[in-house]
Amino acid sequence: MKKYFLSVAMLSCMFLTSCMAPTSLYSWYDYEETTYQYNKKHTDKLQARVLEQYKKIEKQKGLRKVVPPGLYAERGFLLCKIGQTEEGIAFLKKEIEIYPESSKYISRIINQLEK
Amino acid sequence: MKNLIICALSALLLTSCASVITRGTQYPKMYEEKPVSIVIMPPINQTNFVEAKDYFYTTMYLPLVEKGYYVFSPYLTMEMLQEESAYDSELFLEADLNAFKNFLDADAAMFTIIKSWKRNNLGGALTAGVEYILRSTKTGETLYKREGLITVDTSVNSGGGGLAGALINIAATALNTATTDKVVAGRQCTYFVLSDMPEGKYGMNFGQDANQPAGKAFIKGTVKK
Repeated sequence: MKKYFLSVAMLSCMFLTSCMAPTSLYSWYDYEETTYQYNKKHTDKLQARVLEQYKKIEKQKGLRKVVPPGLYAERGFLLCKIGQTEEGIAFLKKEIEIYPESSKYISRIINQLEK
Repeated sequence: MKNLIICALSALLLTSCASVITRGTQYPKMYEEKPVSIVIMPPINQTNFVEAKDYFYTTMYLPLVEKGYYVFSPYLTMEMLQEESAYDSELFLEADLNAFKNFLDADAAMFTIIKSWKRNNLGGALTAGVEYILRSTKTGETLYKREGLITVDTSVNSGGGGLAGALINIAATALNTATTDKVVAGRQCTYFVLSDMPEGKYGMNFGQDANQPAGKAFIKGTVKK
């Protein structure tokens, strides 16, 4: 009887674990909707919400456990646009570090910003 | 009689097996070229809704990234394309794409043609019809091509019966439809159409999905909001 309960408990655990396992490569939180709204209307409030989303996205629970391609670049670019150039460039460089395929384009942006 | 049934069943089995088209046969160039990075081109809008182009543009980024590709953020490329007078994708749909390889180091460019972008308040429906074409920047070949016509059902059923119930349902449906952004249908369309795309470098099934059954080149469907 004890064995039976143990088996049921183990199977339940396995089932629950499989249900909870992430299926997405990345965690996006509310990124899609927030950036969409900001794209429609450039307000300070929405800009703050977008920057908040970038911070959240650093906490990755997706399968790859890294920030999605393009997002460090996007964050860096936005920071540069609002005058936080030094921090912005650091994020742009981070994009190249994690995703070398972005090097050509992002380096070009960095060069323009550093002029 | 027994033999006849066996023959008929075998024929049926063979026919059903023969009709399965895999992703490898449907999208051979994707497996040959193995693009890593994708630039999203501004949509080509064939509808009367001018805003559809800008609103739809950013919806492709997330599903393509989730497919395992490096995708240049549309918020960055949008400015670049506008500055380089390349915001009209019509000019590039059949043209040489080498400039995107040289400038961005993008392996492929995703074009979209918005053919339908509708709202039906009384009927409770939002519809998006879009064709997706992924072209290689190296060879100019079409790597992936698929079209979708997706309707989002926004109808509301309050559960009330009789004439009063029906009127409440009509009003609630109209309100729900009117307050739902049409981009919701666009997102669903992208999600369905790109679901068939072979996975990219960062996907968990990269290079292993060639034998999976491929979907139809045109998909039409309705999803509930």
